[in-house]
This record gives sequence, C-alpha cells and structure tokens, in this order.
Amino acid sequence: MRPNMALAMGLAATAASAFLWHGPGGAAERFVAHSDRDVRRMLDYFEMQQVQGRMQREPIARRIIYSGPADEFQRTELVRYGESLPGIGEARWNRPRSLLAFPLPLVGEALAMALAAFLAGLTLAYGLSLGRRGGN
Amino acid sequence: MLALLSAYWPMIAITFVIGLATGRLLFWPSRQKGIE
Repeated sequence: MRPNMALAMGLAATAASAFLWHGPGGAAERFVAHSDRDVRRMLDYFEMQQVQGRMQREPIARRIIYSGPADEFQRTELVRYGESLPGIGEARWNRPRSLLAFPLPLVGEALAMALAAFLAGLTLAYGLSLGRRGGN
Repeated sequence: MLALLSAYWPMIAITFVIGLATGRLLFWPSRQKGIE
C-alpha cells in the first residue's frame, strides 16, 4: 500500500471514530447530562433554586450558561465555583458571540483528542520500527 | 479535564490503535524486503 494512502486511511478512520463516539456513541450527551447534574447539585447546595445552570448545547461545549435572579456578588461567585467543577471550561451568564471562544465546541475537542492519540500511536510505531531495524 | 478523558477514553484507545496500525504500514520493513 502506498504511504500516502495508508496515512489518509488512518486519518479518515480517526476522524470517523471521533464523530461516531461523540454523537451516535452518546459520549457528548452523557458528559453534559452528568455536568448538568453537578451544576444543579452545586446550586442546590448554595440554596439558589431560582438560578438555572445548564450546559451549552447547539453546539455542545464545556460551558455552563446561568440564568435567573442573582446579585453581582452571587454572579461572580457562581462563575468561579462553576469553573471549578470537573470538566468545565467556562461558566458565564450569557452565550458567547463567537463559536471560536474557549472552550471550543466539544466535537472539536474530541477530534483534537483523537488526533493526538493517533499521532501517539504513529510515533510509537515509528520508535518500534527503529528498534527492529537496529536489531536486524 | 479528567472528566472529559473518562468520557472519551474508549475513543482515545481506538484511535491510538489506528495510529499504531498506520505506523506499522508506513514504517515497518516489509517481510519481502527482509528476505531479500
């Protein structure tokens, strides 16, 4: 098999794995559902039942969007506490204007993780091939 | 970040293996060459 063909097939399989695991595999939905529960638990702990905190959807991102009545101090502290929850990249009171703001949509982060793992596997295979050549 | 990795680790494992397999095709000397 030609090297370019093998690389293209590997990259295509990597991208397909990322999209399939993210969407139909349900990883993104499980992650935001779990995070939604964490946020609700935190708000209940602070007895702020009137405040809503939901993970961003369309597109899914590691971002909490708050809504509801709160004074300036509460708003600042909820952002701070929200960003300290596991897996949360940002907490805010309004949607960001740009899609390219940190954290990126989760599908982009999933693709980046998949590419990083692909490159790690490729590098390991290269290292092993050097060992085999050296041994021969 | 750990929460994200725990949700996506099977995908990471699969793509790592894909990378390994691709690297084997690209870098490992073929058996034919070894015989020659």
